[in-house]
Amino acid sequence: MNHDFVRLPLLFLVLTLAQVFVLNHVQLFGVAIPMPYIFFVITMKRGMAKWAMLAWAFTMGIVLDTFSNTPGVAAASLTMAAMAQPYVLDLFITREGDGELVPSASTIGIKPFFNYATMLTGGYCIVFFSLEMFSFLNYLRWVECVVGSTLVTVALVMAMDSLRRKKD
Amino acid sequence: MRNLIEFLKKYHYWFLFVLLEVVSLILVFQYNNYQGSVWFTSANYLSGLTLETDAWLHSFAGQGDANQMLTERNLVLEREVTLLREQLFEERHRHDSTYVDKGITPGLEAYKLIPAKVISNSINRADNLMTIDKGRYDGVHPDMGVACGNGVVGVVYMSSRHYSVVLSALNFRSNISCTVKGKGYFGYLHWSGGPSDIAYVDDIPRHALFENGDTITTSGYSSMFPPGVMVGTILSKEDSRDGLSYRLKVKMATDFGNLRDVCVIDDAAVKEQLELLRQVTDSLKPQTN
Repeated sequence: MNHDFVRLPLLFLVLTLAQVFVLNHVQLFGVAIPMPYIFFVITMKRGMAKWAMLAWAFTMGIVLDTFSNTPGVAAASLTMAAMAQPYVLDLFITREGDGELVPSASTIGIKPFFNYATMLTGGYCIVFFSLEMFSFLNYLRWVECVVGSTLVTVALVMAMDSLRRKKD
Repeated sequence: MRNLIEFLKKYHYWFLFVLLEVVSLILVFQYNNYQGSVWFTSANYLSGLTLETDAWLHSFAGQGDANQMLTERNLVLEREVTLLREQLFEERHRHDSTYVDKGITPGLEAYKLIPAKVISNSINRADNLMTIDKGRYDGVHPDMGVACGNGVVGVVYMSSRHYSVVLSALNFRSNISCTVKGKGYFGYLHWSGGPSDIAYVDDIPRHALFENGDTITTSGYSSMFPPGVMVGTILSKEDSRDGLSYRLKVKMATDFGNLRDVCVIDDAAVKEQLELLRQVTDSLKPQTN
């Protein structure tokens, strides 16, 4: 049986529930919103059909938007992140590598994984907060939100990846 | 034709990507429309029900604090009403010895209060919204004011049959008319992001006299809120960007981080009265031919 058949729906459910019921109510230092559901896109395996990645990311975005009253914002941002994921991942791994590789610190190394996660999360936060604020009049707050949320989210992504490695 | 099919096959995911982005952006822009759809918001039945269950479970933890806060606020208001009633009676009785106290609340009877519970609330976004468990079937409609025991909360943004989304006062688009209590100067309440207990009242005239600690209440100039609903207290003043007016930094009375019970203010009777008055005024105007 395909491993992704169980892993993806389970990860989808856990990350969505955690965001809706817990993390949507958290704000650190007045600017940083943890959004670890990007972990879902970050850990999509190399070689996965691109249409499936887009469909999964869009569905997760729509569900999160529905519960967070941000219609379209997370959907557009996650779809963008899913589209960029294979290209960003290719920057940090050798082309001769495993075609079915699931990105993590144990498969591509801690530093490349950290850089890969930071780049994807940063891009996600830039699109997310640009669409959410839809104005650069308060650009300082936009910068604070993007930087703060990226830092907190990357920290959570690294922690979740570390937990996954321990479990394996 | 074959080449076209090959091209579409090769780059199908790009078309899917563009399609999904377009759908997402339509949702983003549609929501900016005031009468946007409730389907992709927490006002739809399924998400409303889920959030309601979550809020119900959470309410057990915070009920003690909320009750204590409401009791304290109730005591302060009762004391204030008693003092005002005594002052009013003495003042009227001085001029008219036959004056009988009939109460001072007939003006408030025109407003119907619809109690509701907050089932979802955000304070960490630029456009903070909350969801309440009352909708069109309960008489809640867009543009109605929402307040809690401590003060203003926001304005109803959209309603489904059983749920409504409220544009919180902590939203960049929120614009509530306020006044400095007892002084008569009025301005508009805005939130600029940051802490959830700090907001700003803009457009206060430069000749206005007030002190830090003075109370800000709703002005009653809009039909959403009756006059006198608590907003907060003045922390400091600063010049507006154009230098023509003051901008007051206000400590909000409402604890947006711990909001459970609210009331939707149904001013249908007031609107009807105003409409009737307008019609009478119009009909009495001299005809110009």
